[in-house]
Amino acid sequence: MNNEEELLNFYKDELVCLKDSIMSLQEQKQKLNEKVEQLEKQNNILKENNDNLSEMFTQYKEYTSTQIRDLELQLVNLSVERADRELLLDTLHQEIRLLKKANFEKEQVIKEQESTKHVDNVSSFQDSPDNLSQISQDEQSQRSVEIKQEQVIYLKKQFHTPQKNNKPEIQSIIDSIPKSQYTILYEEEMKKIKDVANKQFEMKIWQDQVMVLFKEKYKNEKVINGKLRELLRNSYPEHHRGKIWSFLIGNQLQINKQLYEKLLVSIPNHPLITNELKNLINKTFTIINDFENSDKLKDDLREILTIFHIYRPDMGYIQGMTYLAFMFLIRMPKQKALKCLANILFKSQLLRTFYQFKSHYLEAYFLLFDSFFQEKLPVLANKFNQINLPKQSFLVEWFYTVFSRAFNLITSSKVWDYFLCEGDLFLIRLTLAVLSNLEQELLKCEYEDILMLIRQKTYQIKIDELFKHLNKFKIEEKTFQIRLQKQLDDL
Amino acid sequence: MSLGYYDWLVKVIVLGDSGVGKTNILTQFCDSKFSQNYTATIGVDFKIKILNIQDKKIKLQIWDTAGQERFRNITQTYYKGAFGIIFVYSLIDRNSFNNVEGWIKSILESTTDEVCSILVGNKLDSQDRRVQTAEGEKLAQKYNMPFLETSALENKNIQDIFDRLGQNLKIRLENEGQKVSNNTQRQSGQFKLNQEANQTEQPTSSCNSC
Repeated sequence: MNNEEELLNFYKDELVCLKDSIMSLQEQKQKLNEKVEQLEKQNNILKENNDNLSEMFTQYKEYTSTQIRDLELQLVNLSVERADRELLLDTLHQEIRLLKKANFEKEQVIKEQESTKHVDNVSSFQDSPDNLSQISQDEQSQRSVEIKQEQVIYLKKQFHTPQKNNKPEIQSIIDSIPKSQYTILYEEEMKKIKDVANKQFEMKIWQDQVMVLFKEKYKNEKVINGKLRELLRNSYPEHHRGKIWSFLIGNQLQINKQLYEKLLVSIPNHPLITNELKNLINKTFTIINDFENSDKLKDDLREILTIFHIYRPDMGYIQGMTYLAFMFLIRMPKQKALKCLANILFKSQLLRTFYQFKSHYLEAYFLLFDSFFQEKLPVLANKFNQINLPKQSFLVEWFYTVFSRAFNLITSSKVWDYFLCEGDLFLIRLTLAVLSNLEQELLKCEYEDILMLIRQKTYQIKIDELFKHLNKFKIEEKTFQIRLQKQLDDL
Repeated sequence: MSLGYYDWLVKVIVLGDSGVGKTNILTQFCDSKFSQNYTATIGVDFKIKILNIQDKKIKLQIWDTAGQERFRNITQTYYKGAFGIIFVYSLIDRNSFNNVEGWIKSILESTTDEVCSILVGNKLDSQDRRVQTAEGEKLAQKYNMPFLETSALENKNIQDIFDRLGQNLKIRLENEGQKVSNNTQRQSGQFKLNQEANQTEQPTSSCNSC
């Protein structure tokens, strides 16, 4: 019995113990749960932190990339400035060279004078009875000869150590020498040099004006374009064209050399570069045969078109692009040409939508042209409508190539100056100008002849004539945009 | 450029892949030249030529189309009213031959009118042939059209393309004269032109007037 009680007690105790342990376990469990909760909270906080950090990181990345972009822009500006300075330096060098040449002639003059003086001296010595006075005279003249000789030595020194600040001294020496036929020749030569220098100076002013505009770019694009247009109206040297175009187009897409190199490297194994594309591009390059470096041009053209194809796979390579790329490539390095090509196909809505073959845009632009055509050249427009002439047959080519296939290179370059300044509206105005130019002839013709005539005669239109007609068609940008929008809405 | 009197006016389009020589065939035929300088056609180009088939004069209004696939939407608008079609592929470009059927089908889809077609394998001058004559013949048979291998560079068989096409056109035109006038886009203009053809003063081509 005792035993049993003991056992019972033992079990009771055990039970209490177990209960206790259960309690403690439950407590532990609760604690653990709390801990888990805490950890989860911590985890959440960490996650948040992580998100914040990554966001900060992307922001920072963007920030640095804009900084890099700014620096690149600065670099471009600096390099442009450097090129200007180099040009100036060249001019100075040339001037120095010419001065040297002139001075050499001067020396010849001096030598001659010297020898004649000598002869004079000898003869006077023999003829004059008053020897003493003659001797003093002689001494004087000899001294003057010596002075002249010193000057010659000085001049010679100048030749061998040309310095920037010795110009006035040379001038004073030159002034002190009596004029002879050589000096006259020299002065003529100088005048020529000055003329050249003046011309270069004018060029410099022109360039400065453009440069100022370049810098003001972000202030007011409209004013700048107006000013630039004013400048472009005058003929300007071809070698500036690349720079100006590149400026006008800008670089919204941020295409730089690094990107170019990266894309270039990826070409050989790129899945988008098919044999078909290679053939297509290879076949399109014979327009440049007239150029001296046509082989290199062809290679570069092929390269930038291929790069563009993988840069903008939504557009890819389209045949009209060759003309655009070509216009850029003949006046700038290939990286810059790609930059211009890509940006113009982005900036110009007309070109962008045409090259993406957005058919409603194509249609809208054709209808838009029709509305202006009807308004500005009603007689011709009515005739075209009457005979149901497919206007697209020339519009497509003109718009896709920005007239670079329709005109010769000189005319189309000038046309591009304006197009890049004034945008898509200019293409409509130019089309009107071309048709207006041919209007009298076209009115006399029938269907086939009109189509043939437009193709043949456009190439022969003189640039002055074209611009005379162009001035007749003033269309407000606002009107253009509103009508375009209307056409798009209607479609 | 008006080529004077003619009996029929026919719209012809030239189709085929880019670079097979469509434009060169036409310049050889219309202007008797070959240009080494290849420039891709953007959209469409246009030419006219009078074809003498026996006693009849057929004025061809030829539309030369851009071969690049992406321009198809634009070029297709010119299919309408076409009565003669020249399908061109290059003998040295296998792909261009493989694509010919695609071009034929695009015509069959877009026009219900019966047309006169011809299949042309160009660049016979090249040594690097990739498409055999038999293959071209077989394809032409399948679609029931005449077949020629040509060289625009050497002006070989170029005239024959248009003579063959012209023969078929003439037969078709004589049989279904009325139907043709419906096919050509500007039937009213055509007859007016016929009457006025002798008065349109174009001294350069007066030789064609009769």
